[in-house]
Amino acid sequence: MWFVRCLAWATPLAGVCYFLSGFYHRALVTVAFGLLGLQPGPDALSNVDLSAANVLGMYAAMCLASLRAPRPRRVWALVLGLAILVTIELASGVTAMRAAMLESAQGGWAPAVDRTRDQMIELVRWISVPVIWLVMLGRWELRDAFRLPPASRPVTAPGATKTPRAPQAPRGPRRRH
Amino acid sequence: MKAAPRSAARPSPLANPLTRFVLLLVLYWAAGWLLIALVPAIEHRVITMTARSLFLALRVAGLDPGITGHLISVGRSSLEIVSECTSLVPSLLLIGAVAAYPARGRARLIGGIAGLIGLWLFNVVRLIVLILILMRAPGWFDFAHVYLWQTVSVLAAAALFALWLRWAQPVR
Repeated sequence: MWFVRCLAWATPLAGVCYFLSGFYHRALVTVAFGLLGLQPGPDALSNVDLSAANVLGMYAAMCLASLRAPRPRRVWALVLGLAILVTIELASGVTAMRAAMLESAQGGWAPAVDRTRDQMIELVRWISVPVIWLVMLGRWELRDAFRLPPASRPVTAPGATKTPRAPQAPRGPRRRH
Repeated sequence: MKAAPRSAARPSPLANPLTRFVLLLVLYWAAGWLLIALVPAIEHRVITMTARSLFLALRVAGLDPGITGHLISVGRSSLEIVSECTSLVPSLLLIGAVAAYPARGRARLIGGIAGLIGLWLFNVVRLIVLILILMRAPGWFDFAHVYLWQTVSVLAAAALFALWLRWAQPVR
């Protein structure tokens, strides 16, 4: 059922992210270039990366579908997770640009180094969503799969009487010295 | 005087099976991505096999496709198969998750192979849907491409992992 809920949330969120992708991309590019002390060119601003925004929608759908977790936890996971994903996307962009500048200054790198750099940046993008979700909400949604104890302890309401102790077994006769 | 009782030692975070799973997951995914980067022949082979699978599937569906290298054409529409068009990424995600979960080796092997086949078939269907969208409603292609490629592919890998979890028993 989690998958059905996730797909149900992901579909409209994908549409929302699609419409916001241009704005999100331009914001990311402007901040990333600004961090490097550069001005973004028209090509950098116009070549919109649709998957960057879609990743946010996918994560939001996973959080909203996770009904086993308490609502405050889900909201916290949503807000914090989205902030982390935006930070990761920004860091990936800055890292990629720094690497490109370094490569240009050094007259080019070996193809294997280029591919490794590109794949590691892609890796961070792909795995950040499931890893953040697992860290934030995994112990509720995967409790049965990993045979985890319940995530929350029972809380005694103030003023409630304590549960009486079970009667102890009678002691043997005392020895007198 | 009685000695003060020692406070109970804090359990290591690695004692938590979920923490171990997440750490192993990241490690296996990083290793998988590194392997793809260092051995480009893997990616090239997967792209070629995906293009040929799609061509065969389109022929079976009666759409009369053409194939030139990695370019599949149907009527006036054509689709170049690149790395993102393959099931490589969702397969890496699934294999990593199966390998990281504390199950018996046989269960992992079966889960990995069945998952690869399942994702391959899912990917071929996904590409057929994309080609049909490209032919009938090209304005929707960009949206459908990102939605079907990223969101639905990752959910498909997660769904196959969840199915396998119901069958595989964790070992302590």
